[in-house]
Amino acid sequence: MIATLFLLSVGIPPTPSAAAPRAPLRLVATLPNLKAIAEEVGGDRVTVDALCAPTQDPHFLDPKPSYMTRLRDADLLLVNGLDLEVGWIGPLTEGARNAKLFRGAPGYVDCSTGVSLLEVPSGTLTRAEGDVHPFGNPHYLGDPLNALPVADAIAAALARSAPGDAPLFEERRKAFRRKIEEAFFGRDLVENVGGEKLVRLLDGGKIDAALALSGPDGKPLSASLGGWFKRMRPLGGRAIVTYHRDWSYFTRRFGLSVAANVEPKPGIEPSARHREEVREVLERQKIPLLVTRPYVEHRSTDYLREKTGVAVLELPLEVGGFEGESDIVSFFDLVVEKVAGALEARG
Amino acid sequence: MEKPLLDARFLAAGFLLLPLARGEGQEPTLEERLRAAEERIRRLEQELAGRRPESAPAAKSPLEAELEKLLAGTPAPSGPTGGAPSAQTGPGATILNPKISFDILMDGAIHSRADPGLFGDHDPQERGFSIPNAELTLENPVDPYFDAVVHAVLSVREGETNLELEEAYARTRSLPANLQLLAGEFFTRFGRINAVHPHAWEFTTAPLFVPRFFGPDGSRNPGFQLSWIAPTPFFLDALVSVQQADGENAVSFLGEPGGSVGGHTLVATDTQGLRDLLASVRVSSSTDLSPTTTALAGVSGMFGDNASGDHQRTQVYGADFYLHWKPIEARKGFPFVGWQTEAAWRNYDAAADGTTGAPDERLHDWGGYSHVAWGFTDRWTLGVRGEYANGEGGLQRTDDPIRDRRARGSLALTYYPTEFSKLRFEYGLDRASHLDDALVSSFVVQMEFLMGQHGAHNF
Repeated sequence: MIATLFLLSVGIPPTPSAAAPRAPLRLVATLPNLKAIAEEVGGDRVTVDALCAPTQDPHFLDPKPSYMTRLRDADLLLVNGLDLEVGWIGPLTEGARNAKLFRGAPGYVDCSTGVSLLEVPSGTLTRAEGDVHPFGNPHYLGDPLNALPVADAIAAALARSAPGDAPLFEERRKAFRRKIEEAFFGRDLVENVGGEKLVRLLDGGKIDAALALSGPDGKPLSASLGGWFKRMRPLGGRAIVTYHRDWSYFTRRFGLSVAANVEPKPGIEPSARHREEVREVLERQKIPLLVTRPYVEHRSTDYLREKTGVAVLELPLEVGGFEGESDIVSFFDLVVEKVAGALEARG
Repeated sequence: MEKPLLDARFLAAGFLLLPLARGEGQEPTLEERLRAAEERIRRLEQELAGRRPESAPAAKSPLEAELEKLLAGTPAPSGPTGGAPSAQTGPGATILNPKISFDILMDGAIHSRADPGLFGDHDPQERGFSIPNAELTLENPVDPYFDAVVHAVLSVREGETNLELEEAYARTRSLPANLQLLAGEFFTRFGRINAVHPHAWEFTTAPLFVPRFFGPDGSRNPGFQLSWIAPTPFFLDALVSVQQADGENAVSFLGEPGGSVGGHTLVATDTQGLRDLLASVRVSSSTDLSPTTTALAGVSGMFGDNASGDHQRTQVYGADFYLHWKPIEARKGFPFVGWQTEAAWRNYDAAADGTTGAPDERLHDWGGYSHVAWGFTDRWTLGVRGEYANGEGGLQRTDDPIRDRRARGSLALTYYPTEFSKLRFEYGLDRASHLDDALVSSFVVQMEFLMGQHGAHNF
């Protein structure tokens, strides 16, 4: 009994029998989006726990001791990176005593690696600019196609940790990639052109030229377009206003522009004067939609709605933030439908 | 995935049916059978290729050729634009330098008595302005095995600038079995408030029992600490530490030469052996009562020789409890409620002092506080604190400023423009027997400005 307790206390697991299957990898993700992607890639070979709730501000989590307990036992820590978690991840990894999860260790997976970043500051950077993120805008999963490089990073980390399951992770990564590509471009277009090519054409600004080409059935490829891109394409070029700079990746992806932010600087609440400036932009440019987030004040957005008639849409940024969705695809189904619906309703 | 599977079955069925189809009349030769099978495979392959044009090995279709032309000018396929910048390649030229921050606290105080009897080093001890704490913090990994943290504190009081090395320690990064070793100068992890730096306090003054039991700056000295997180499903942390027990930051132990406790002059303030070191233990545990509410409780003890005579012992015991609530959809951390309570008591075995006439005796002291910090709306908190301290034994205890009976109430209203600055208004009402039990009012305005990269605070 004492020997068993001692073994448990020093963390040496009993020798597994040859027939026993390996236990799934234990993952802790800081954000629900990362959890959702890790579950797609890892399947039943992983268990994933998210620290942040879907409608919780990831900048302001408390480093609760229970989080340390979860990190203590984890094999991998998935972080959004770009200093999004800087306010609380340090005391957690330090308190968890799990060397695998320190920054730079193999178990510390920065999911931003491989993402093409927006709003990377240049020149002198000070906090006079508000709550700036020195490495670039961290809300990259506002673009559903950024789930692809995130899945790549996670699959690579899983394969390193469990080489025996690497083929499975690779197969699941490809399946997830296909799922996202089909949800984005429509199944038929992905069949006709190939998802990877479509992403390259879109990023390279050649998608319109490509969609004008004739497909195998003689009709233009645009006839086989579907998914989120089809829904948003007619709305390209529209301007919206966002509360924080958290929809930059979404608007870039779908060709929308952001005419103003309700916050004068990131993390800084608007003064009455700035609110009036936003009101002027809304009125002058006849902007139909203001997108806000769950955990910010409502005074300014209520005021702007009242004064200008703009539609105010509160969108969560994380999977699980809406009722009735639990994965990346169903989450963006709702985001795209809500944004497109609101833009269409206002002509 | 379905289509290829069906095709494979079809193919297999074809092989099985082949002999039956030619069953009547002459038996086909093996060669004929093979040829027929090959023909059949060829037809099936064609059919399959027709269904999946992407995988057709035939010459490039016009569409593919056009797409190739368009793709020629687009970035490589690894991620949206390939080779994206990562955190490691961002503004990372400073990545090997320590994180540096500097925090400035300034107090402006009005006390109804010129000498309000405040003994915390970071308390607003006099009327007027002071800089109770201007703290330079450096932290970074040393190498793959250690992280180092330095807190150096400047203060300005009565025209004098003082510099103190408040903490300077390294801690291990990767000891096995959830252990962590810390070595250097550090605050003893006794209770909750002792190890918290003044800029993170909810009030402008240290709790009454801190200068009484530990010293004006709390309990801190060089030494080492070993801590362990138990492999339990809930959080359970246990630690032991051994520190030097002399100087003004260990008044219950060896203390400073020339000092006295309860009328017992300190005579043996030199460190002679292991008994003269300060040993501490702490066990704490925490659980989430709900996704929004967390409780944390701990017990602590400090043990060592005191300097009133040879082999005189002191024990300090403490218990603390913290309850924290914050809704999931809090805005920038608001609203929240934090309720923190801490109590400590001390047994001080004092040798007889021939000079003062103090007998050989055991002095008892106790004290504690309970406070609630309520972040009632965005950026605003209201803090309420009640405290009490008292003792037994010793000479002229009611006139002893650090052993008398004393009660204090504090009310603090704090505004945080951002998480890097604050403005606090605090009112304190104090009654101490060494100040003739008269009520003393204090009004303090405190400002804080934090610049640079400051590590996140513990829960």
